[in-house]
Amino acid sequence: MLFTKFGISEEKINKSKLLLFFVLIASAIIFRLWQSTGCTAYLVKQFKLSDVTLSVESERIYEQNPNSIEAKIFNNKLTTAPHLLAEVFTSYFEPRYLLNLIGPIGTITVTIGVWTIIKKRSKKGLFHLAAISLVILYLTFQNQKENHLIALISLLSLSAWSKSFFVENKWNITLLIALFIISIWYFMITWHLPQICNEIIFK
Amino acid sequence: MIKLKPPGISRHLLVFFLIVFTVALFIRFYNLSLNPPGLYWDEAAFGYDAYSILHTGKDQHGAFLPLFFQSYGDWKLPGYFYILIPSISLFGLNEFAIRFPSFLFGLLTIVWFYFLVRRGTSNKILGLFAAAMLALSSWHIQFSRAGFESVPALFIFVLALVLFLKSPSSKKTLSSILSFVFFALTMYIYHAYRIFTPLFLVGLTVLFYKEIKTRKKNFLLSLAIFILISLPLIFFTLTPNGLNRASSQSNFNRDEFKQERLDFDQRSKPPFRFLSSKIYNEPLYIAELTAKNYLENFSPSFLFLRGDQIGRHSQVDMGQLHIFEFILIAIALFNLKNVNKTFLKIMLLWLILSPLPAAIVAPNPHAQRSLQMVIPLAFFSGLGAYSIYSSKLKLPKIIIFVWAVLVIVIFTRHLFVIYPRKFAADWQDGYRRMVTAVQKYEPNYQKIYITKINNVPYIYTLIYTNYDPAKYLESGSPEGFGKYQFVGVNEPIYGKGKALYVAPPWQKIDGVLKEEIRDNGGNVVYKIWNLGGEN
Repeated sequence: MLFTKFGISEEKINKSKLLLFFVLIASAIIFRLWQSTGCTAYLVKQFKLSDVTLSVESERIYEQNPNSIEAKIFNNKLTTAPHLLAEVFTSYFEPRYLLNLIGPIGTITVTIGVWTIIKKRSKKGLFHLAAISLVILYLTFQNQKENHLIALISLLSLSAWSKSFFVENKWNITLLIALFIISIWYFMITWHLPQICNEIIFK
Repeated sequence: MIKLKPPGISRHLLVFFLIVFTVALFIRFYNLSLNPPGLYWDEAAFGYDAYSILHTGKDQHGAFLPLFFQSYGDWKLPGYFYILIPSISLFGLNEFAIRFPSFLFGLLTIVWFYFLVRRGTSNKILGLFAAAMLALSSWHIQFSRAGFESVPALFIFVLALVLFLKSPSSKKTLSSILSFVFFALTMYIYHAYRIFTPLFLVGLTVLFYKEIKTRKKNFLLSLAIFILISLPLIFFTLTPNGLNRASSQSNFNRDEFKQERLDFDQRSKPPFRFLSSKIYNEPLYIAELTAKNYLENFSPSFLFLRGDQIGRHSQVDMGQLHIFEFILIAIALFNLKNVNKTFLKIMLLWLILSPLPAAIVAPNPHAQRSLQMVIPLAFFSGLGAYSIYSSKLKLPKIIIFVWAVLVIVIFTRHLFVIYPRKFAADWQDGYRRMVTAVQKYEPNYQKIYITKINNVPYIYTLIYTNYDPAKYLESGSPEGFGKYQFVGVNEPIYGKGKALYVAPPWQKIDGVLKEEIRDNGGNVVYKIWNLGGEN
């Protein structure tokens, strides 16, 4: 309203909001990419068949007769493997991990992005979600330092779906700016990535 | 989006729900007194204080009909103590009596949750699906099988909301007043509601602003009664005991912050080190911690895979929700347009506010403090199940149904076969066997020493011996009563004549071993020794 009074068209305002949205998201990515290289002990979680065997054996201890058919029916590789795979897969979506990886701005914009896809029932959006899920599924089998970088870019790409929400009105774009400021602060206090390097990986 | 089937109940569906509710009733009730395997110390405190009030009108500390219970010094809220009195007078002082109200209120929650959804959505079948999901909810089952005050609090809250939803359209003020009375009562049953209820009421006021405006007098009267009932609680919170309780549970420990700050300074690198005091101060630390704790409650691992890691709060090897509920909730998200908008907003408000009480205290996530979440989550699971039922595609229906049945079978087996063995220690199992064994030898001894190593053995001895509360009030204390003396491992017990000593299993004793006490998992938890004699 204020800008239109000064003769700036609605279209121009929307374009500038859109530009601001992408600049803020891009800055968040750059900050995170820079930060991601700062961690020397950049280990990753990986799904391993040896973990499945170990898990089955440790669970059978609590059976009255660990060698009984009943114990084997309820504790076997076939039932344990999907559970462990799901654990490694969902570890990429843990809130604590998301905060460290994509920061507050990324976590909120990705959440709003996914919500927008669901709300609009966008086929493209669902395809995007499926593609990201496949990438993350691929990462669960990998043991490489680049896992976090790939996850970072993949997950943040979902932010694009939140653009309509943020450019919708001035309050939402203000929220985005506030999130950006919080993210800068968060970046400064987690600059050395204590959580990713020490907590998530080594615990 | 799937178009939901019209709300008419076919015979098949009726049989399906009958089976579901019967199975749920069995899972909730079977072997209630022996599984969970032991009486946790909070359950024990509830039990003996209620027993003491029943017989003397006073709690174990001698306070007459207290409004706040000193208990172990943690100042418990009064709700569950008074709820227990009829149960104990009916069934006696035992595990069953202490757990029965929780079981009963768990069942009643399911019934009233059905009424809530039916009222909110005007759809009977959606109400039944949602109630069925709550009935089978592993999260709700876990808590309703033990003496947890969060279960009756949840029931009262659901009841209050049903009455609230009735009141905006009702000309009578009674349901509105009753609704606010019940909302206020939740805060006297479980601590989490001291935060959750007021916030939820603010949200409800915003959601129903138009309706409330037309019935202003009605609302203001109800609110005044709510505030009036809350006053003692507010005053108590401001007393030293209330403040101590709050600070002992709080996440925001100044010493921990100082330690964090020190770590931060040591870890931080240039170029930000010089900014350290500005960017990492106490308010920001608190904000960060609260936000992280809050989000932990929505962690996929907590909800669907691993659950709360405290053995009393979950099956631990499974999530707080059944894993197939992930699919149901996802389907529900695509079908939200089928639901009344206002009711949907209430459920979302409920879900968003539920983890707040847990976020400001440690440890986190804490399934008991965020048990309120179970209602909106059961609603969304129910909506998902109803959407699948309404779908014309047969194969997904069959796959999800078979998967759900398998998961429920695995859960039930884990609950009854594995859990009592694996998590016996979490429930301080062994006290009943120990006290029963001690009672067997008691006539031959003048003095019985019991180790204090596993916390508050006095309360278990009081419970399992059904010790007269009047006698305890007269001459007993947590240090001893009658023949019983509760001692630390280093206290002198020799040279005082013939005595029975219940020792920790690892302690070397100069005496004759009489018996070993094992918990449900087969671990030796106590050894009973004869000191200074041959018996």
